[in-house]
Amino acid sequence: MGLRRVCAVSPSLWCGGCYVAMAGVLLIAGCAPSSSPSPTPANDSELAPASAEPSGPPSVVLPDLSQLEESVQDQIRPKHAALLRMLENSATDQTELSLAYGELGSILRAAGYFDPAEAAYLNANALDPDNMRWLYFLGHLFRQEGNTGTAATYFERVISLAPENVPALAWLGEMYLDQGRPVEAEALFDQVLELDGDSAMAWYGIGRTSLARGETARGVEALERALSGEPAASSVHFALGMAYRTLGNVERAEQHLAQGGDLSPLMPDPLMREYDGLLQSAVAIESRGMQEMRAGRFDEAAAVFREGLEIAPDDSQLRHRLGAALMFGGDHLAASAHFEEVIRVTPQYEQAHFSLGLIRSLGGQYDEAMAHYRTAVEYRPNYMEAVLGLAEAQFLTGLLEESLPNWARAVELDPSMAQAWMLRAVTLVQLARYQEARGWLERARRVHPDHVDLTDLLARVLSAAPDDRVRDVEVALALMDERRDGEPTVELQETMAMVMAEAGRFGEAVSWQQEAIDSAKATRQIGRIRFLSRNLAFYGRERPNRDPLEPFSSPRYAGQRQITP
Amino acid sequence: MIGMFAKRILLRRGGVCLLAAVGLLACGSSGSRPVPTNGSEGSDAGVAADWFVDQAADVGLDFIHFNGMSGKFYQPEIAAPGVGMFDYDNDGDLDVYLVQGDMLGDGVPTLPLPEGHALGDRLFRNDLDVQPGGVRTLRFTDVTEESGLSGARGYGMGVSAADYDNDGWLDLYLTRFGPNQMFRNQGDGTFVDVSVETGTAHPAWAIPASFFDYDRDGWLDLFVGNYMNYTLATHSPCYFRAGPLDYCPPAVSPAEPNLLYRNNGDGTFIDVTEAAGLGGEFGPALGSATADYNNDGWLDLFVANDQQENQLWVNQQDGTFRNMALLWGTALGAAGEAKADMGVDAGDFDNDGDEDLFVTELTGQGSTLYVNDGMGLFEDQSARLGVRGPSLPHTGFGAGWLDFDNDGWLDMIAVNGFVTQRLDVMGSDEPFSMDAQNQLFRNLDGTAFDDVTDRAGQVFELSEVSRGAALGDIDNDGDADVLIGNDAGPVRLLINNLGNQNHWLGLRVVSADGKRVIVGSRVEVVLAGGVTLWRHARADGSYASANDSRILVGLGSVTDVERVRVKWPDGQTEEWTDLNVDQYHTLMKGSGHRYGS
Repeated sequence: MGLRRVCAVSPSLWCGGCYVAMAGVLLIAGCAPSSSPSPTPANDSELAPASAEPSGPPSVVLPDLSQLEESVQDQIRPKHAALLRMLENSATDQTELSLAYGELGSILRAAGYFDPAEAAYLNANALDPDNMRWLYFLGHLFRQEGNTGTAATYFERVISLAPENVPALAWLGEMYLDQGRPVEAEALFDQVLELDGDSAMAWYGIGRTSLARGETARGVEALERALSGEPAASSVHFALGMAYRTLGNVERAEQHLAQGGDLSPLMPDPLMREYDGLLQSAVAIESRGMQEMRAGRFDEAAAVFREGLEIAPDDSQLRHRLGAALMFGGDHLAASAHFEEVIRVTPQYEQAHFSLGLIRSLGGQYDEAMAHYRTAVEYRPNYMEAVLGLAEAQFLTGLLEESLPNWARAVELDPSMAQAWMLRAVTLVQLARYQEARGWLERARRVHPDHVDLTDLLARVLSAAPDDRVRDVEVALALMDERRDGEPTVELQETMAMVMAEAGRFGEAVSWQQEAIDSAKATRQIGRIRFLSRNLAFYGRERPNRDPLEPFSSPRYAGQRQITP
Repeated sequence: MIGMFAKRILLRRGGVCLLAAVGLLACGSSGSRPVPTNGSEGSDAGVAADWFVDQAADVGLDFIHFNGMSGKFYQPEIAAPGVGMFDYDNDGDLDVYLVQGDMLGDGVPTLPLPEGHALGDRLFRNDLDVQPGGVRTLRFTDVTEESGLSGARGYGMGVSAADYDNDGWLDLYLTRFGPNQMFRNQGDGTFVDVSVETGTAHPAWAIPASFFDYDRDGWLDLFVGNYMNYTLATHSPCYFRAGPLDYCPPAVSPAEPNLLYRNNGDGTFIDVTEAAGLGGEFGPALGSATADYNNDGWLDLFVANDQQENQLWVNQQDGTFRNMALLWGTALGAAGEAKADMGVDAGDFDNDGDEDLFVTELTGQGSTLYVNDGMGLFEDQSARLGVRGPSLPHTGFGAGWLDFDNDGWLDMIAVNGFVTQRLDVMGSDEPFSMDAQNQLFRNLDGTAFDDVTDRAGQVFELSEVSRGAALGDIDNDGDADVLIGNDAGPVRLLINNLGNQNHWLGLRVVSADGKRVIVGSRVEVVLAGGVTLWRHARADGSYASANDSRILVGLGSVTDVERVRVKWPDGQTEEWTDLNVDQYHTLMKGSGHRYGS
């Protein structure tokens, strides 16, 4: 099977003492496209239950499956054949026939066929009306089509059969919320709480119904309870952020919004979980694996991708995903093997080259890493992460001049990549190209005005660059005025000291530098103490600093620099 | 029942037999034939029953979009086209600009253009004729060749119309899958390509563009929304979960940074994206809408992104912007999710004096109605206001506020079309199975919206792959009409038959020399009895389209307007009185009574 890009995947890396950012790797949401089926003209065998009356459920028309993956066809056809056999056998039990219709409906729905799935479920329900399962799936079928009215009707029927079915209660609550009926929705979430008082999902629901009714304080209370039950539910953070904003508490609003996302509290839903694992296609399996990756469950993700490779052993994309799962799970050796296999089969698979570059970088094998990054960029010139990786590897091996155009290219491809702006600036400083560094940093701050590291580095250059034409202590002081209440890191304290020294305020410089040394000790950055102490001595002798950054030395530097992303 | 594809074939070939079958228009028309509108002699009795009627084919708007598809599922195939309404010849009526696609790659076109249709954008001149008795005859003439706009080639995405050089003639900026193009209107019916000399021919794939004077220097600046860093060479196929090929989601390609160009006032622009603070945050932009969102007198910019956070660029009044979308509530949906925002429009739907935002979304996400509290803080109230439910099954593109019934409350239109194939109709007989019906929402006095699609006319029963929508009074009868661009389909011109049964007020807010509409101006219309309606002059918004920059205010049964105040983008406010209803007025800057500071 050829290349199949369902999700774009590229880790971001800041090596050499920088943070390796795992977030964002392979974690693009909403990757697999979904279809929105519509009525299909009959073109294959039609199935109707033996007991169907003229006004009963519609016939199940099997659609043209020829475009589907073989593995999916192999799932649908046997179920269809089995159903045919049952229909031909007058002794078939109604319940068994219902199950056969239902299972066919589920696999059709998973494959993306709406109308035949609906027909199958309706037949299943007609044959076994006391089994709420098919009504439940019908509810979801219509929910996924955006038809909240019909979905709600089915969930209501489920509840009439099973009044304590928590997923149905919760989903019906969601449908009512979508329809702008918060009062009815709240009653349902209340019922869930009666069954499970700790249900974060129900508290989240009540939080939202309260907000919809304008009862913000009450909503906050409920949302806080939801969050305490499930701290990882980022969508609760978002709702709380909006609520606190409404209440005028901007600080708390911003705190929550910064943690906001689209991860809702978990809904225990065994039927849907069973359904979600149904489709055995490479794409569907990959999608399930990606969900595990997003949740940080790398071992589980690897297991899913292995399952996919059993169906499609030549699928380079699945193999690459497996490698990525292993890499993030810490098994770099196994990951490497899979990436190398991908390249052997599909030499132009640029992501595998990038991934190998990443692993080599992590292992300190920078020459190999650079070779792989270069190959990745050859195949895809706009591959920002590979360009960034190459720049970093060059930086770490002391190829500072060579890294400069790559930092610039990374920024050109993605100006939001503050780290690339920062590291190019650092490189320029290390190359003693202070004037360029100043210009670059001034430009970077226009793009990222709130990025503290850029501010600090600019202040250092303005106060400690050996070039008189570059220094501007007034501007440096103004920058530090902005930073005065910032988090007391070694970098900030050291920067403050530099600026104070340049301003002739040596007493303050000594004080700040001592704080920097104390912070370095407290955070076990022992390797930095010597440079910090040297500068302390300068300030004690009322001499300003002329080294904006500690001199670069590749292996040592990699372990010492911590740059806040 | 005629199948979807058959219906499309009939309509694509310029035949209106299908419409005739439902008793609307005479069959067999082609080319430019004058069509009377609104109760005039010769109208079919069935027309009056429909709020909107498509008259595109009958008035000479003979155009079918070509998307260049060849079975490879290239991304641009599903993104176009925008449409534009603008008065290029300053004769007082709206002309039409239609964006065309092009072949993608070297395959065989799956849906070739029918005979008689050609590649290249088209400009249609409006030859509206209004008789003393009020009989209006709408007629369009294709003037593309003589206008010089046949140079607008390549794969078109959208169109923006504005007078960037302040010479009184509307110019055009065309976004492309490829280098964008700027055409200067020479005032003699012709345009000249000034893409290079203006410095705006950026090669990135752009879709929305908005002209606005962000620095109050009297010259229109330009925001260009870029979509993704994508080429045919870097295209990789995407698949349904069950295996068939389909179009890729936006996450597959990296987003491309947007552009802000400042107008130098000398016919050139300079890229100030970084200097203005827009460089560090961006997403795959599909929509842009400029307005004063926080009521501080300065124009701001909302950018709608596809499956990534939106940006709300708040003008800092010093040449820079700050993105406040997250805290101000317009970055995400109600559940904290980044939605697939497509079309967008700013308007005061609840008549409380601030600009609210309507945004169309992907199936299952529901359109978003961000309600403004007057200070720029927004809240997603889509569900409460009845917008979310009816929009969930749809994927919306072109979006707009329009008071279609002229009752004084802004209604909404969403033109829809999916972005993924329908699995059960895929195949050679339905190669582009992404059609959907459009929707019309009526505003219930600012408290809720009612989906009135099924009452709006048989044209709303059509199921097409709609993308761009431009709003404007194309027949100058006092109500808002709608021009719709369909992907791989015919253009539609929905003539409003309902609105002018109520009273209305039309305003052109223009410069001191009377030559150009000052977009961004806010208008406060105070009616007898004290009711106040707020509107603003805008040409941007919707999806990749250019709207009529005149302001049309529905008045319901009110016949007396106490006063109209215009707050110009430069901060000055002027007031006019004694404006008669049911007609257009030109309010020239400097000719009103100065109001306030």
